[in-house]
Amino acid sequence: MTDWLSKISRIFRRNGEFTLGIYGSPNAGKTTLANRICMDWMGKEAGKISPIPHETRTANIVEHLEMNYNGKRLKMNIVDMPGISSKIDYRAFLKHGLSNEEAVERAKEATRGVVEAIQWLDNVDLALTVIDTTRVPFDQVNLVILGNLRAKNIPNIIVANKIDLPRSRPKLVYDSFPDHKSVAISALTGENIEELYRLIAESR
Amino acid sequence: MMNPRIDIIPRWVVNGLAPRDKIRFIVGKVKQNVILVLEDVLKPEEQADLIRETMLEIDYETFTGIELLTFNKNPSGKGFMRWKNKPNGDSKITIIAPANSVNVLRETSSIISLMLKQG
Repeated sequence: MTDWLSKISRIFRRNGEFTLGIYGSPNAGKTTLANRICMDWMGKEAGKISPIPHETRTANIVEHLEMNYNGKRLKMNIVDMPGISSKIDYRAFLKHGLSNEEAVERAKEATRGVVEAIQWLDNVDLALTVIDTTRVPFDQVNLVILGNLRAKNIPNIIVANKIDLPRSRPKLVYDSFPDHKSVAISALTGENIEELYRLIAESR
Repeated sequence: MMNPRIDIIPRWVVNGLAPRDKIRFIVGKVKQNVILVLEDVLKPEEQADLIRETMLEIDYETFTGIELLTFNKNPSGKGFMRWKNKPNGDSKITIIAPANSVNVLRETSSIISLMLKQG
C-alpha cells in the first residue's frame, strides 16, 4: 500500500501539483476544513461530515484543486485523512444510535483508516494539522502527528479550529506549540480562513 | 480480565531491542493488561509504528487499543514541544496503558492522571 501511495504522490508531483494532507484526531474538523477549502476554490464539497467519530474512514482525495492567492497560483491535491487515534472501542458508537453490528463494522473500518492515515505521512508535501480548540491540545495523537511531520521535514501548519464555539481556547494551542506555524479559524463559518490561505501560499 | 498490573521498565531493556521487537514487546505486554512505564522516549516514528501495530491487534472486545502518554519538559516555559534535536524534549518517560483499563485525565501539560476503571 505504501508503494501505491508513493506512486500517486509521484504522479501528482509530475503534474506540478503538490499533496496537501489534512491530519488530526477524530472530530477535529478535518472534513469540514476540506469542504471549506473545496467550496472556496472548486465550488463543491469534499466529503460528508458527522458528529459520530471516525466518519472519514478512508483517505478522501480531492484532485486538481487550484488556489490563486495574491497572484500566486497553487495546484494541489487534497487528502482528507481518517482521524488518527490509539484506541477504537465500538461501544462508543452505540451511544450514537448505531446497532451493534454497525458499530463493530465502523470500528473495523476506523482501525484500517488509522493505518492508512499513518502510511500517508510519507507521501504528503504539506500538512495541515487540525486541532479542536474546545479540547485540551495535549492529546498524544497531536504530538505523534507533529513529531512525525517534523522528523520527515514535511512543512506543517497547525489549524486551531472551531473558534466559533464559546469554549474555544485557541491561545492554549498557540502556547502549547510555540515553534509551529499556527492559525486559528472556524472551518464551519469560514472565520479567518483567508489567513490560512495566506500561510499555505507562503509555505510553497 | 485480570486486574491491571504496572511494570516499570528501565531504558536498557527496551533500548536493547530491535525497533520491530520493541513495538511487539510493548503491544504484547499491554494486551496482557499491563500498564507500562518506560524509562525511555519513543521516537515519533516509533510512536506511529506503535499506533499502527495497535490497530492491527485490536479485537473489538478485550483489547480496544492503548493510551500512549509522554511528558514534555518545558525548559523555556513557553510550550511543551521543544525537543531540540531530541524527540519530545527532555522527556524521559513513556506510559503505555490498555485503553480498556484506564481513563486518562490531562488538563495541563505537566500532570498525567490515570484512573483505573472498575472491573
